[in-house]
Amino acid sequence: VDAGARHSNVLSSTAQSSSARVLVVDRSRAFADGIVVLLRAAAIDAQAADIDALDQLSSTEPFTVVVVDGRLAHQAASDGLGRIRRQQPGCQLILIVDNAEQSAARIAELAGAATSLSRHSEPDVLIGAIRAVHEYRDVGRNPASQAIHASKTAIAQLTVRELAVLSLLSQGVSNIAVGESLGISPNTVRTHVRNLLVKLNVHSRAEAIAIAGQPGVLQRDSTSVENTACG
Amino acid sequence: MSTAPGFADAGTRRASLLIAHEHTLFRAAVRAGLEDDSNLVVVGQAGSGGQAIAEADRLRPAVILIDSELPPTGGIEACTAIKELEIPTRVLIMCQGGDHRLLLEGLEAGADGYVRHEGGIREVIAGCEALVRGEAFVPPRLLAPLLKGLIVRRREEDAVSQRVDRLSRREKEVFELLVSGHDQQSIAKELVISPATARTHLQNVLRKLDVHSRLEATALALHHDLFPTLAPRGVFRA
Repeated sequence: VDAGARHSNVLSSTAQSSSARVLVVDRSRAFADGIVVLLRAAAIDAQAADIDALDQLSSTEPFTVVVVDGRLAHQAASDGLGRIRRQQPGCQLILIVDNAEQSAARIAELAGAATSLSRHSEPDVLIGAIRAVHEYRDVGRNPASQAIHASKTAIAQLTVRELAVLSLLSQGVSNIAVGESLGISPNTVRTHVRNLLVKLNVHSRAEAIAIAGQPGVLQRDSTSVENTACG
Repeated sequence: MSTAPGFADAGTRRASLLIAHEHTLFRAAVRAGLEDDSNLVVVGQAGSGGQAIAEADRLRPAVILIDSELPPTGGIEACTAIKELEIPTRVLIMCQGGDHRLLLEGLEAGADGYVRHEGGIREVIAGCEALVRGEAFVPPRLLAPLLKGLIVRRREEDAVSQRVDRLSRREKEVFELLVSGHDQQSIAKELVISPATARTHLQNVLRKLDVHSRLEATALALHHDLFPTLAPRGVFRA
């Protein structure tokens, strides 16, 4: 958030910061209606919609933030998030999830959401998240940070082992040395490398290392990677 | 207490409401939506069945809105327990979709109305206000599944009673003893017949009821309340 605020100051000459326009989409329309009342009371422009009636929205002005039911991210068949993205390109998503969903943060990341929020949260937390995400939006428009975001999303799909291999590769280590370091055969290392190249959608180790080398991309998991590499 | 029961504020006559739903954010949202556009005031909130029962007893609100998926055992069970308190609070069940079994169970538990999540805050307000006026509330969209549920239940009961009618007087006696927990030996003793005869009667009962075990026969009897004097109500259902 701090970084976001800094960036938006830097960019403020080109991208004038405007107030948030929020769309709320939830399987419970009663919930969505109530959230809209809460947001309007906090002076945030908001509107509710059913997932099946997105194209009937009266407003032509695009929404900057969409607060969306995490259950819609699970329903791959109905492609709820895809419909929202097509309807509101350029919006930031905030997923509302159950605490029970342990993988909530991961779902949010894979869905390309800006953040996720527990259904057990107090309303102030949601209002704070909307304001933070809206401010951060200007950074999202910056192509360089978009590339980093895409890389982070790709990296999030790697297993811990694949991350360990990638981390060692970035240090210029050979397959054999990686195998020795992790206590696995060179053949297994080759399999890990092949899988991580597919997941990162690249064609060579050099490209993979380039993605891993972007600032902040590997940071989140650096400790766990080191631990794995040592062990 | 000068306040009339069920009304938070005797001056403006705003009807009091308790919201029972698992999620904090949901309760806050529905509270905001309701208070923004109705004559209702939310006097309490509950995140579980236990809390809902305790708060209903303590606050005696005009209406309690209970989510059908309220943990740990669902809103219907909470409704049953609240109705057993014998307080004037009226119960509005909130559900997603229109499952006819859920609707019937709610009615049997004493619910005074239903609203749907899909119906938005307007339907919740309409439901609460109808209950405050002393009316029942079922959204038109739920009438079809509710009627279907009643018809299905009626057909099931007709089918079961037809099967029970096939039993002879003696077989009915054996059946009743089985349901009350007797085994073959004690049935024989009770009716002063040989165990082999008791066994024959039991086999005929199972065949005529079209079930495959004594356990299934017992479950059928309890489920359809075939022997009202035997079934201890309230253990597994209302």
